[in-house]
Amino acid sequence: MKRFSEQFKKEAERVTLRTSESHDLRERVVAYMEYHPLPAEMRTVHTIVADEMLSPVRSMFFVWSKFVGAAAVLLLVIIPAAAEKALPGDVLYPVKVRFNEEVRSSLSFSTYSKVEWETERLERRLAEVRLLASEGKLTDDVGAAAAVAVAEHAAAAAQEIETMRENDDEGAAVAELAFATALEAQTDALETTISRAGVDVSAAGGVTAALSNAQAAAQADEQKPSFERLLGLVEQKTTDAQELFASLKPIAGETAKADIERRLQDIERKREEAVALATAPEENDEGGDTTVSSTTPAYDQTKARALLKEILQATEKLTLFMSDIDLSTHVSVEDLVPVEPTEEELQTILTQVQGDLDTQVKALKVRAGDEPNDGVVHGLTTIEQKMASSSEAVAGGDYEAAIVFTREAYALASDILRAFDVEEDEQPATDEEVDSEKPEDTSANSSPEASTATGASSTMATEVTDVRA
Amino acid sequence: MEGRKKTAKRMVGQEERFLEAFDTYHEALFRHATLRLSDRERAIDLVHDTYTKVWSYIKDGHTVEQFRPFLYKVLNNLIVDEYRKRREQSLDALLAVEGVDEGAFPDLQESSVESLAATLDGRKAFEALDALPREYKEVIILRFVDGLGPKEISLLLEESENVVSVRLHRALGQLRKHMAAAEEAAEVRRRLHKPKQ
Repeated sequence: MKRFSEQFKKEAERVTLRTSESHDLRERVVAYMEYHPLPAEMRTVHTIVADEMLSPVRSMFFVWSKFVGAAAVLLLVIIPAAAEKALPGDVLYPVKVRFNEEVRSSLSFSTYSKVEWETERLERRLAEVRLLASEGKLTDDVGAAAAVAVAEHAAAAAQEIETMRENDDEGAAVAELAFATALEAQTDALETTISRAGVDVSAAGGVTAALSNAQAAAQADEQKPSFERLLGLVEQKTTDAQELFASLKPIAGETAKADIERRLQDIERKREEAVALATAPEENDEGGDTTVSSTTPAYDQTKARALLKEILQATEKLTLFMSDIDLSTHVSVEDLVPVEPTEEELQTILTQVQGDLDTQVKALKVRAGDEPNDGVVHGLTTIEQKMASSSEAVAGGDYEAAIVFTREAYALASDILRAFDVEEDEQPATDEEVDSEKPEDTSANSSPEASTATGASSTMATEVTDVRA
Repeated sequence: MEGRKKTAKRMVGQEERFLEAFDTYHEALFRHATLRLSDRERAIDLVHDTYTKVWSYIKDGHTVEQFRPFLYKVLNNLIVDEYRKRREQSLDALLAVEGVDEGAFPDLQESSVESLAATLDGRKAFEALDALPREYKEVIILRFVDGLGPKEISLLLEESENVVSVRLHRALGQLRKHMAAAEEAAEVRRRLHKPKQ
């Protein structure tokens, strides 16, 4: 019974409102509540009733002003507001692109805000493409038009950046970096959507090409902007992301909330790390002693800047994930912004993989018996070497490397064990067979390192079988 | 003055309670309506209408003690109206074809519904849901998607608990038949394809 209801319910739970739909629905209901308020005696605020004498004049005026007002509201507020949601092919789409966006263009005065706005327009075209693609409605015409628009906005942004460079070199570098980051995040998102939705790529092909052209043109300068400007940009973007998250909180699901919160914590941790790296040692050392103590984190501006750029990239993608909730039904947040484990988490993982390795090695020794052949001996030596490198890495505080070594050792042990099995079954082992069956435990916490390690060690394992044969 | 303030406070509470009821139930109501109507857009509209109707009811001075049953009741009425608009066969017509009165199995209890359900694959059953007549689909959704008990369903549909149990029972039986038929069709297709390759 339980199984049936659970399966059934799980299936039914795939029918969900998109966050944007949920949001719109709430707005509509709240608007209804505002237009149909509780009767005066039920409300807290009592408005004072207008002067009786003036009421006939007022009501005449009221009727007219209401009419004209309504028409103006319709033309200037309702239609443009409704048009904001339009997609290519909708009746209101031209209003969105030619009226709303042009009005906003004319309202951006500073060069920096112009670059930002061109970036946003580019992002809007791509969001439309993704939305249509995920619904399988992307036609060649729309794809081509979007490709032209992407190229146009990218060129406009690049031009504004050049203008800016003439009198504000640093500012231009900041704008350029923000633009390049946005492009990269968009490219990633578009690629994932296309591969997930399984759409005909030909329609989106032009867009992808336009995007990679723009990306090639917008290679940000490595040495600029300065650390302070970069930190400023990071702080602005992370604050935006936090605010967006706060506004989504009431409507987002529990898992989505937990996922996003975790990513924001990762970003915050990295930011602190970067600040610590960039703080000059003499500022750290209050005693005024010029010798740099080895315990303070190394002063490394380049590394700190690289970290900040990583943060920018992650924040940009996270923001994209949050603001473009339609995307989130097709792409998991893990694809866009993977979790970054803390030191404690790394230690736990390490203990776990070490435990797995121990059991595997014990099993291997039992299988090999008292007189292991050369292949097994060679394998065991390699495993021991890897374990030694792992302990070394732990001593140096590099848990990630330690985990990689341990996983390699584990993969090797598993492969040798499997070689025994294959031999017992009297089936010649081929590389593909060994490759295709990855050990269960490594796939549970799969990382690119672990899988390449399996690939590499499987060749060793076949060597081992050769030796035995 | 003191008294009025108190009333006002209670009423502000009404607004908050109403919005809370929106946040808590709108998703479930939407799911219910979508599955019943097989039309997302229309489902959103009906959920909207449900809430505006309930709000109007509160505005007219009524108090809603429990939102969930009330919201479901309103939504259900809207869905029934929607069906009427689409003019398809009613339960009466369905029963006339089957020629059985619903009261014919007084011994059917909730426990037998459970044991029948236990033999079905939930995922495939969900896919077969659309093949069921509306009234069957309705009880299945209320029971297994919305998680309402037989009593709540009987109150909502204004039928006796017994009738609800019988209907659930038959609905599961039909689901099983549809699933078996679908499997058979798939098997035939497999066989047809094999010699070609």
